[in-house]
Amino acid sequence: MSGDSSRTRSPWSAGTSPLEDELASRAAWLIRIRWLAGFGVLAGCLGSSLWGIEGWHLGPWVCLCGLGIWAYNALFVQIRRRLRRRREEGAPWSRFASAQFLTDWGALILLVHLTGGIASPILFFFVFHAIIASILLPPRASFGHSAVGVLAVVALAVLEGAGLLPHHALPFYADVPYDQPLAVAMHLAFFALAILGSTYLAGSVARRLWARTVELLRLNRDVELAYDRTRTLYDITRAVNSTLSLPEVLDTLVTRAVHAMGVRAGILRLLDPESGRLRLSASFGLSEEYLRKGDVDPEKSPVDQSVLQGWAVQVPDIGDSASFQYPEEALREGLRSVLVCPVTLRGRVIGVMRLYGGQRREFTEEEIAFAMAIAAQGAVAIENARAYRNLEELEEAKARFIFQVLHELKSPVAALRSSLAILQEGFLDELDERKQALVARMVRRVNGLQDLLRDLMELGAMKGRPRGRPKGRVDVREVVREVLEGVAADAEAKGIRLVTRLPEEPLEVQGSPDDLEKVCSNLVHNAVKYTPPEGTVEVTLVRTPEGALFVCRDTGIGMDEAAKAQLFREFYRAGNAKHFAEGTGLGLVLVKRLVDLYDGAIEVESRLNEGSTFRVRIPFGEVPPEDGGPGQGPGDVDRPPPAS
Amino acid sequence: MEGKKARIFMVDDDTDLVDIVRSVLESAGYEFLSASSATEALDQLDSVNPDLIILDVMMEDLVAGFRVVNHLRNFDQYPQNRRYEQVPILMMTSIQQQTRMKFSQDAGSRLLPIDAFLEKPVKPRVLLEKIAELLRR
Amino acid sequence: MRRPDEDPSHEGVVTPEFRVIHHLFHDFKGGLATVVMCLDAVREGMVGEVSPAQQRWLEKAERNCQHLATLIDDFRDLTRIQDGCFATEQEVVQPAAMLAALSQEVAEEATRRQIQVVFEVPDRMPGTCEASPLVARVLHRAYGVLVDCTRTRGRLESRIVLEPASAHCWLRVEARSEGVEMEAAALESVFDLMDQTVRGLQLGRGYTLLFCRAAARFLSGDLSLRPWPGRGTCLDLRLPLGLPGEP
Repeated sequence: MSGDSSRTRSPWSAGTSPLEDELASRAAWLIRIRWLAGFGVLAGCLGSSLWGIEGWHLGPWVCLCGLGIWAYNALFVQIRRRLRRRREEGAPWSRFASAQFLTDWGALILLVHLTGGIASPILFFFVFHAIIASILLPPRASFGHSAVGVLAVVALAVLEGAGLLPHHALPFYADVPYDQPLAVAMHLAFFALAILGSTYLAGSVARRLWARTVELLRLNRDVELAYDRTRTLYDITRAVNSTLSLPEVLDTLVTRAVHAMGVRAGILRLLDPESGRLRLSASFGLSEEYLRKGDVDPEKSPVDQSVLQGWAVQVPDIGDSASFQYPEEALREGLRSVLVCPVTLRGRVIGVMRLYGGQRREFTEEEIAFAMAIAAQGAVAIENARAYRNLEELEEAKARFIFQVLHELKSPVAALRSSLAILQEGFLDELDERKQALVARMVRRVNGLQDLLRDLMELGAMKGRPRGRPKGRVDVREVVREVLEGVAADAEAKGIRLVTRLPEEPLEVQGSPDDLEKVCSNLVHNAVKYTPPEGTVEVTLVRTPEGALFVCRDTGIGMDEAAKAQLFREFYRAGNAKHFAEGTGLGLVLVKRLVDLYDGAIEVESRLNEGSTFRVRIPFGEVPPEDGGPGQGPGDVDRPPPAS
Repeated sequence: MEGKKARIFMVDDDTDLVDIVRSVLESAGYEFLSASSATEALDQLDSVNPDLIILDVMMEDLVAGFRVVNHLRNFDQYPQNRRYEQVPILMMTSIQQQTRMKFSQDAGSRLLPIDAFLEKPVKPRVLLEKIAELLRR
Repeated sequence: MRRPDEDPSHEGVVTPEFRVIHHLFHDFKGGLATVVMCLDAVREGMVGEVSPAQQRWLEKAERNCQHLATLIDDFRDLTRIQDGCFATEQEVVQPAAMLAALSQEVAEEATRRQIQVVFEVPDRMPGTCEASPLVARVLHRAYGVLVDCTRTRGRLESRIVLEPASAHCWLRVEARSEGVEMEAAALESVFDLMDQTVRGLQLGRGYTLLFCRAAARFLSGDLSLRPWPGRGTCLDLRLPLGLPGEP
């Protein structure tokens, strides 16, 4: 079951939302840019030291700063990876972005401080950052970040101006006029204005883009969802229609529905038109104990009553619902929510499908429609399976009926046979030669009728027997030996040479001795029957890697191509066979059916007036181990035979 | 035909039945010949030159007997067989029930141009009487 | 098992197996016909004198053959009726002659088994009328069962009446046989080939009554059994006869 169901991916099950994917990819972008920023800092540092700037010795510190940026970027890469893995709960991408910006602000402030305070050329990079933040973050957060950046710069200016921090001026660059507070204030004011302005401008552009992105993502998601659902529905339809066995259809339907809806368990109850009760028909993911509730009387279940009217009903939380019938049992089973759909066929409700969620869950209209669609597809398959089963039952009834009738014919035929026997044996008065000949003729004819009945009853019994090869072990060599013993007298009477080649070891295959006896006996008796006196019948049994090979070759009347093609048809008897001997035309049909039942093969090779060769291959099947080794479960019959 | 034994040709694939009818007819003084299929019958017809034909319906196929009838009575198609026009055909079969056909009613009509019909099993005496009646015509 | 004749949706399903079975019955009957002809030839002395003892056994064998042929015919027509592909035509019958033949047949068998028979027929009957050949057949089969199930030296009473209906008249049989006594429900099982109780088997040879009911219903008549408390079984049969051909 698991192998099958795993193929049905639920379009509803929790996965990464496209929005989250977008946030994650933006975080990756930011990290990539930061590698560049770190590289820029290191390159600037290297350039300045090569160039040699008089009176500025902070190159190594700036260098450290660049390495620091790389270091914390590496850390962010790790964090991002971890966040990617936590897809189910929804990762805190915004907080992650904020953390990155705050760290970046810190690094920038440090760089600004090292490269001449608020007069530092690096101060311009704040604009980049403001823009990036406003792209990545919602408006309020981006303004917050810009404000934090501006405040940090102001704080730096105040601390340096007040002499609380040392001021490292760039020697070849305009210095900050800390002695003129007004100029500093103006500088800072314009700086703040530029930062907040760019935040605003970039933000409004980004917001528009963002809205578009979100819209696009939503549309995309809808399309994917619709595709997934169609696909799933198609899969389910195909699965439930892949069999005509009603139990299989029902099982498949419930299992697939549970997986497709991303719920925990499901149960299917079909309406019994006679009692009006809902019969438990199939279930998935529910314990035996829970299922012991058995059939449901809709009269007592308000939920089922409205479902039988054709409505789907959902209970998002079984715990606080008054309409749910046995909440304690459901909760004990670990079921929290339920969606109940009608299984509708041509406007008629034929059953009820319940889908149970393990958590509180409100099914959307779309989900409900989807579940109803699954149920409707199932209904069609159920109807097909039912129709087929009815046909099968009818066939079976007719076969049994015929069987019964054949049985009835048996005793009058036997009575007729014994009346004739009394005449023939001369118990009453001796019969003269002419009468004797006529009576013998009648006896042969009646024997033919008896054979016909016997063969037909055997064919009938084939219909009634359970499908598949019988369990058990049979020594084919022994079977063939017995058959040969049985036919020896007939062969001798006709002056036919019987040549036999049997293996030295027993040859065991899976099956019943009766079946194989019928196969061999029919072929050997036919060979003797259709071989003229002084002919030869050759019976060979060999062990092949696949199983037993039984060959029966005769120098009999043979048959032409046309007869060969018809050989396994009921009542078919080749033209030459009719004149040659009595027969029912059913023996080979029986042989063929039995060989098929054993997954074997039968071949015939024949030439008119030269003889025929029948080859029957019976695979080993499951020969049960002698020493009680690993037991074979039922239904393992199809396993390839062990090599020998 | 006085003084000469009437020659009866039976076409049936049931060899037992043919042998029984042979015993019955030979003991009644008829000359008896047989064929076991329609094809065989048509092949032997001229050499046998029968005075009366007993025909089965289902032999090598379901309508073999009707084919023989067609050969013997459809003179437009088989003008050479006009000389058998006066040879009575007695159809003896068990397929009436099977086909729900009314042989006894249709016998002699254009639909089924035979002279008499008997459903199997036929009492030997009835068969002899019928044959005598047909040969008297 | 649900009886196939009760479920109309099951009608008309002729499976290859059924065709095979019909083919088989043809073969079977062909064989029987040959045997019967053979028996007749011997019996009629075509191949020489036959002693009385041999004659008796030849007759016995022939009865067996006839019984087999009857069973096969009934079964074949039963399946045809159930499959909805049975057709019957009306033929001209003489009711008086038909009932006389029936009465004689019953009397012969009854004498052999020392059964006391009361066989009442209508005073006035039409000279000729149209009827399905099934009518005579069902009558013969039903009386055959009645005689069979009456105990030796028991009583078999039957009364046949004609009831005019709109386009035809009903031939109604009310018969009572001493011997087999069963509950009403058990009697019903006689009509279910698959579910015949052991005692039910005495009431008819397998599907004979099943055939009679199917054929009677096919002709829009009916056949039913009910207990004759303390004595045996009652059989009610209703079959249609066409309007008199000659007034």
